[in-house]
Amino acid sequence: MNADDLYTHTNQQVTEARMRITEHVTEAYTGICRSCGRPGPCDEQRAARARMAHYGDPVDDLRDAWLATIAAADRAGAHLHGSGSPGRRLPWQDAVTECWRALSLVYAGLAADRASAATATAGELLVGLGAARVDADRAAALAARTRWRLGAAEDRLRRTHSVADVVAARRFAAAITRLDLVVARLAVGACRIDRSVAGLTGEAVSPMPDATRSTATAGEIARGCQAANVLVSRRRRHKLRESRW
Amino acid sequence: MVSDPHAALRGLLAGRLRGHERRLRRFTEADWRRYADLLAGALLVAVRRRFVAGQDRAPVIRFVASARERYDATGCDVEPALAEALVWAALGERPPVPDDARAIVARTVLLLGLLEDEGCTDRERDDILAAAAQAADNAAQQQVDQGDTH
Repeated sequence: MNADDLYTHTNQQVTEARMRITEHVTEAYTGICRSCGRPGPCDEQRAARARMAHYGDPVDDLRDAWLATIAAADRAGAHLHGSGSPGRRLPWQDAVTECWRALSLVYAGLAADRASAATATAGELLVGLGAARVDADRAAALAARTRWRLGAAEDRLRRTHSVADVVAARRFAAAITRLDLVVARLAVGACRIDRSVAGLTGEAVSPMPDATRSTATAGEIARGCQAANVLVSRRRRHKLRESRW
Repeated sequence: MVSDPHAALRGLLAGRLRGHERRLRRFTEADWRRYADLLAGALLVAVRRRFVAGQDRAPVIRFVASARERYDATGCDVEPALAEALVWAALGERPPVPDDARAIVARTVLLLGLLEDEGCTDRERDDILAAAAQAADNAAQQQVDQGDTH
């Protein structure tokens, strides 16, 4: 399975899952699935939702990141260094598209690995996983560069003290957060690929270090938990406020 | 059957803070210890999902910075050097970090940051917790075995 096959596979999976979710709707009054007549949510719908969660969420995250960068770039206008003429594609648009493609490949590679027994040989699979791994690394590097540019643009906009620019800067900050998420998920995907490749080639995976038992007293642990809860609650309130904004 | 420390940690990770705090209030001394062991085990598993031993320092530094940015508004509640040491210790690259209240805070924040970044589903979170419970049980068993040999 080559890189393009994996890419197509991901798109097919997402499209199919969307169709299944639309078909197998549970009727609110009877609680029965409209398509198969079984009590809802039926197995088909649950499976499609699981597939969407697997493939769809990262795609949506990237789409959000892309939209946020475009909206920010539109607002930022002349302040952006190197953005070129209005009709020209911005460098971060390409970067986000590239990240999306790489992440799709990573997930598709892992899905192909799971379903490998019946369809592909170990050699083909290794090639596919290798391609996905290389793409993940390249996309992560590209995302890091893009993040740097977005950060610089955000910093510049914040200093202008114009309301429109501050709004644009906030959008850039949101885009940066989302790009960071993508990089984190690429890293998790790449780790999983490494484990899959190690499993296929029979290499020894580095052993998990042993967990050590806590040596803290109950009082110290309780104090730590209390302090952590304060931070978590504060973060929760902050997130709520941000979502209202 | 899910034990109370297990349920408390699951509540925290799922964002059910009230239930989490209610459970913490009922903890006995043994529960607190079990909770700390589970927390350490869950961090171990989550770190290993995202980072690999021998990798660059930059992604770890960036992750710790992003977790502190999210949870540590004052800038002095989570020590960056301690948080990084916890990540490297989980990867087996540094000796274990001494346990105290600051380490518990850093572990909690790092674990929440890792799971938030990864966008785990409920099932994945349960898998991580099950692996953490196993790691904690193994550590307890090892301690018993060492006690027997001495």
